[in-house]
Amino acid sequence: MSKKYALLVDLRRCVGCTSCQVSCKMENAVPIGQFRSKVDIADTGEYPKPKRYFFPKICNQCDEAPCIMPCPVKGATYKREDGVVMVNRDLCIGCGRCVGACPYGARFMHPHIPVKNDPKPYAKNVHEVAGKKAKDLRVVDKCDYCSHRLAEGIEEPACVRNCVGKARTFGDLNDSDSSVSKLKASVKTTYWHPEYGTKPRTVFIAPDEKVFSAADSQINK
Amino acid sequence: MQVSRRVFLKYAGALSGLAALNKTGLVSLKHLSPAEAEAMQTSMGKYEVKYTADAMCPAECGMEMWVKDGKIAKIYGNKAVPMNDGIACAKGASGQQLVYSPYRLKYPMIRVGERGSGKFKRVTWDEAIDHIGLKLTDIKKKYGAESVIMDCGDVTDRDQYYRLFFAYGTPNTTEHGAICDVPRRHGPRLMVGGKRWEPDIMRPQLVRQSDGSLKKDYTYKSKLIVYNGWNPFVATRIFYENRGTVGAKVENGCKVVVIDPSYSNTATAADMWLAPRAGTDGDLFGAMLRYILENDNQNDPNKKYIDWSFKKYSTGWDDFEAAFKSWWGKKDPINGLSYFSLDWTADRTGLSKAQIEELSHLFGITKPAALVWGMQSPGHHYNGYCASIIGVALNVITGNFDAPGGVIDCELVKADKGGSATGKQFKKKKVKRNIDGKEVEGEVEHLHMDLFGSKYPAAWDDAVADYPNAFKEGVDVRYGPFRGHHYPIKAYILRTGNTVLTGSAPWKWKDAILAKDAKGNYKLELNVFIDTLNLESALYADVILPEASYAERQSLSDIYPSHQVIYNRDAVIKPLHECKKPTDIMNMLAKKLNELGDSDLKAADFWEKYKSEEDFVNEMLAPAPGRVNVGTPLPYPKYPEGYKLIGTPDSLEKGEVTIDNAKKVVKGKSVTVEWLRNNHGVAIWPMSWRRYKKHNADEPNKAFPNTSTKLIEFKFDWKDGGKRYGGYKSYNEKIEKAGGEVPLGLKEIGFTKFPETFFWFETKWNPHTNPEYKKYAKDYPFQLICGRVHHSMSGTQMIPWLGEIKTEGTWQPMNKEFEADVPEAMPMGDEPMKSMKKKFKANTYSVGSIWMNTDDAKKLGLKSGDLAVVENPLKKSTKGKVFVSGGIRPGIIKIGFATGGRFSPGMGPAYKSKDYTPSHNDLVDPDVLSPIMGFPGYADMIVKVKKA
Amino acid sequence: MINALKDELSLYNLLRQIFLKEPSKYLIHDMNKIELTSGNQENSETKGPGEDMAGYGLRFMVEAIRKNENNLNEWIEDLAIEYARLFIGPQNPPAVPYASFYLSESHSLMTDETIDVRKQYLEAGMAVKELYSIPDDHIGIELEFIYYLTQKTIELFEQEQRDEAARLFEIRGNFLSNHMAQWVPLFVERILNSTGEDFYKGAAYMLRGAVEL
Repeated sequence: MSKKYALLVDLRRCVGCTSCQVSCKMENAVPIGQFRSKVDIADTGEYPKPKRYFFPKICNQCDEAPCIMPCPVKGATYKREDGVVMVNRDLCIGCGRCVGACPYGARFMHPHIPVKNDPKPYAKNVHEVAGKKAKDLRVVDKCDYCSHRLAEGIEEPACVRNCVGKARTFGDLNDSDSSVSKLKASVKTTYWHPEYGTKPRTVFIAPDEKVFSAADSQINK
Repeated sequence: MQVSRRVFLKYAGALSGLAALNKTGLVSLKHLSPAEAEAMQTSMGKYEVKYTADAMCPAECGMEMWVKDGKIAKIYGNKAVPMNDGIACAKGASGQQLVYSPYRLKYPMIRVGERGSGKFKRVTWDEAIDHIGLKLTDIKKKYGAESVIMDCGDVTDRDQYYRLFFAYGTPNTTEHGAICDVPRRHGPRLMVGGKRWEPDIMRPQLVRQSDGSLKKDYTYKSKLIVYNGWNPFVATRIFYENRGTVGAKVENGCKVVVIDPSYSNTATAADMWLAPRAGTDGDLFGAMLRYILENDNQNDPNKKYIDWSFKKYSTGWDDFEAAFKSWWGKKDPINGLSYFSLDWTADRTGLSKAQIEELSHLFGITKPAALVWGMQSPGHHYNGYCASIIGVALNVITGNFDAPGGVIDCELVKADKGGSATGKQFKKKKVKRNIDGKEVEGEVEHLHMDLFGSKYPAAWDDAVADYPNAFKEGVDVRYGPFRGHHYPIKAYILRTGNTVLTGSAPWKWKDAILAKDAKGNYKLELNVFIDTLNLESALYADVILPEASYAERQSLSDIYPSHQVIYNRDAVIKPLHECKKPTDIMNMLAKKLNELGDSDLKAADFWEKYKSEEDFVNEMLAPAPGRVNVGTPLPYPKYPEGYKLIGTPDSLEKGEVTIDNAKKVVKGKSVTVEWLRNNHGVAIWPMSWRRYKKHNADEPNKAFPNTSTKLIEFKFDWKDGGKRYGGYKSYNEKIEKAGGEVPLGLKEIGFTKFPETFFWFETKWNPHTNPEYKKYAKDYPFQLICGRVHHSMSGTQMIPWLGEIKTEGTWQPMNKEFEADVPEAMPMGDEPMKSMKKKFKANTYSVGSIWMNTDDAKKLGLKSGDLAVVENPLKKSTKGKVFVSGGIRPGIIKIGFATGGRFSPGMGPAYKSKDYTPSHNDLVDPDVLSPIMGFPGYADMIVKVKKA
Repeated sequence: MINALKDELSLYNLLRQIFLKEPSKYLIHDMNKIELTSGNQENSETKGPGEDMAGYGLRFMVEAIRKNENNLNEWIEDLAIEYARLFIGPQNPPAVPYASFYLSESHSLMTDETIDVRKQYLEAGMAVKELYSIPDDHIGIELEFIYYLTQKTIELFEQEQRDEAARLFEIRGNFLSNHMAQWVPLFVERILNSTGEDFYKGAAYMLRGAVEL
């Protein structure tokens, strides 16, 4: 049976330190000003009952991923059998349609990685690339659960590896003995905007669900 | 082969005659033999994993770094180290941006303009060491070695510098701890001989099981943690308190109380947040103690607060209690109420009586519990000593000291290290000084500027904030054999510190460093700055020495665990640029001084003894773990209880030891760097609890804690059977031998000697508790407090990844639009990117901000992002943008420590925001130095705020 | 062609000396002897650099030396301070002299771009003496690399080892146009924008000329 990867974030244990955000940048050389993984912090409430929310955001690796359908190049963005939603930098023509299609803002155009695939054959139907050359366009980038680590057999994305509050658990949902399966089975979990019907793989334990609305902006605004 | 693309060089002919061009040898490049080239070719691109520690911050977590092509490629936590159990914080993970910062110090430099003008030229190491060596030789001849201060900053690599300067002959060395949280640590040091009290939440712990095996135990036992002015989620000196606090909550139902005028990140995990007025920690602790004493009822399970068995393991409680109770009969001049009563405490702290009662009851009845206090509360107040002492008493009488899930004195239980490498033995050297025409002999250490000086003879952590006064006026020795000796301070060597910015008030430091004598010469003749980074203090230095960064030098972790753990901070990469390691700097300077005729610096003590830094670290490791075999479960049941343990965990486990019954020492194989490298960098010995009692009987083991009686001491100076005991004993003896001359610090609070048991005095600049300041209350309605922002400390603000983080109300994305050099893709280029000036949009990058309450801001017409001026009664002011929220008590203003006003251009983006970010230090009263140990009252100040 | 390369050899030798460290007395006194015969009457400040940017830069430097002829030793000290201010610090140096600063994502030192430079040195059988300590892509070291390749090309050419000469010449050309030309103009611009010292303005022009030759 194939793996079914999932990431569980236990907000009871999030200490708001942003190690996940920086560890991701360290691991994946994410450019300044853009994020694959980001912690939103919101101060609300009035004295003496203030509230501060920490909301660590990351790609949901949705099972019904809204970013895949709009892609005009077959295979440029796709869902692997293990559930990770990937970008193929050799195929992506940098039209940016998937960026707009993701309701969580989990994607961005990587300012420093030019497109390799010649956009010309697509230009007729994809006005975003019409008249542009590959080197003038930039590929899309997003969280892929550190797929380069997965490929080496390290089933632990950098954000999980370094999480200060031990709030993150990563693993295989098809393995009922995995810590992520056990935790998911024992504690009530929820998703970021389940009403979108995207069926996310990234799961939250959120004792106060206001966290989603209090800090409700996209990852890359 | 064609050369076709060139334009004729008009002056080429002119060049060809130049003699300089006869230099044809290579300066920076070399030829490789084919074998060398091949070896390099095959090693390129491969990862090598190294274990080290992160000295970018004092938590010094264990790290795992992946090195490729001689360069740090990945940074994670070391999974074998229980301090951080494999994790790394944002700052830890950003290490590459510091190590590879283009703004690092790279070469030795010598000042060419006036101090502070920022004009330097590059020199060779030989020239720099020559310059310093000549100056030090001259100063020693003219004024004595004691005229030199060595300020070592970072704790981990201080030992090389200590050794060098102790051998040179000055006792005046210090480290960063002296301006960290001295009053906070006072109670533990005085009463148990320790330092920092922390909750028992470091997990995993290595615990001896009943079958004799050792288990890595992750179980939490704590039921209540009270954090007073301590914010481990943001100021992480004790790193396990992050995961430990939330872990104990989720896994063990532990309750968390946070007492802090501001809603800290730690408060987000609290079941109860109490926001008292600033500087009333001791008041609240006193109220808790009085409540517990008055309401304890051993027959009522709901009021059985005190665990009276503590009396078996302590001495002096009756005296302490009597002295404490004597205050109950006194009326406070500021409110006419009885000290430590609920009414009195409510009036002073601004909390309600019900809140104080609830807290006192909760702490008394919940077991196990831990009450801990941080650097942001007792640590930074003039009277923090009182709170620290009461805090110790509260934990001890409720039975929580060293209980499983209770509170642990980490200093008493961490592994010993340093040993003879530190060079303490050199301080015992006999020296002579001429005082009023008479030759007097004593030891080097009797010349110490604080311990024998006129102001703070109990300053066991050094009064660094008093250095500016010493630069200008010199030192008066009033105690010990050299009484009557006066000497000037002529050299200040600062390493990995930034005292000009953070050593109290920057203006006071600048003034002292720039002070000149009648002839127009600087009074402080030599000012040296040693660091990896270009901080504000460098601008005032005469010589700058670039030290290897934390990843380029080797030493040992300096940490606060719940039992003995030690790890190697390995050198992960070679020193970059021309930076040098502390061991090399030590040896170079020692050799130079020796060449210049100073026979106190000997080859056998330095350059012949330590051929590499590994030699030095091995000597540092020799005494480890160096703690006694005590507690339950007994760490090593096969060895006698109370014996000191030395040696590697495996040699102790296997019984490969010698036992010295006379000295009570069990000695296995010494821990070495090599042993550590073979064991994931770390050595761990077993945990135990209640280490003050025998493991099999309810009586003291007389081996722990580290006091004069080996008991917990509630008395500080007393006589018994002709012998004298107590933590203040030696200081009072000094005073008596000096004919009763009262040190200036004690004089300030009306004491004539160090007190024998419980004592109390008021803090400074607090109109709510000290009548002297009541007159300022109307014009200066705000109390100013400060706190650390973990990732934006003095030395880490140039790291761009950390500028993308916001923290509480003191580090917010409130930048003005600015331009900075960042790499961007070039649409037409073949290269993926080029550096371009990029505009950072307003409010996208975090800078220091001023945190204030919503209602207060409304009254002043301020909203978040407005520029405001904060001014104190000394007419000093600072400017910054306000962050307005409900997360701070009305009447309180909070600014991060060293987050703003950064005037060193080496700070990158932080420098660009210096004109609209606040400097808390600019508002510190440099004359408020706490009376016992001369620590700056960083958080004792009142201010007014107006729109700029 | 070899004569042209020999001219360039002098140029890169001078430039590496100027950018590796602050100028020695020896170098300045020596440069003071340069005769600017063909352009003596022209004023370089009003006349633009034209096509010969390197020559223009040299003029600038020599004229700066002439202006300070009467207090040369003090001025050499000033040059050392200016060198430190521009390229070293301790305060934020305005013209960071490492390629990776201009080419890398992280805008820092010892990046993958630095490793690329290391690989190119290795291709020519060379490495930095202080490997792993001194970043390989310091302007002075890159200039020394070009200097070395030029010298070696001439030598091999004269020894009739044409293939190896051609190989090194090609490495040289690639390094100049694919690497140095990508960042040196940005570096030069920073020098020109931040120094008031004609000597370093001249050095910057000369450097630009040498990279764009």
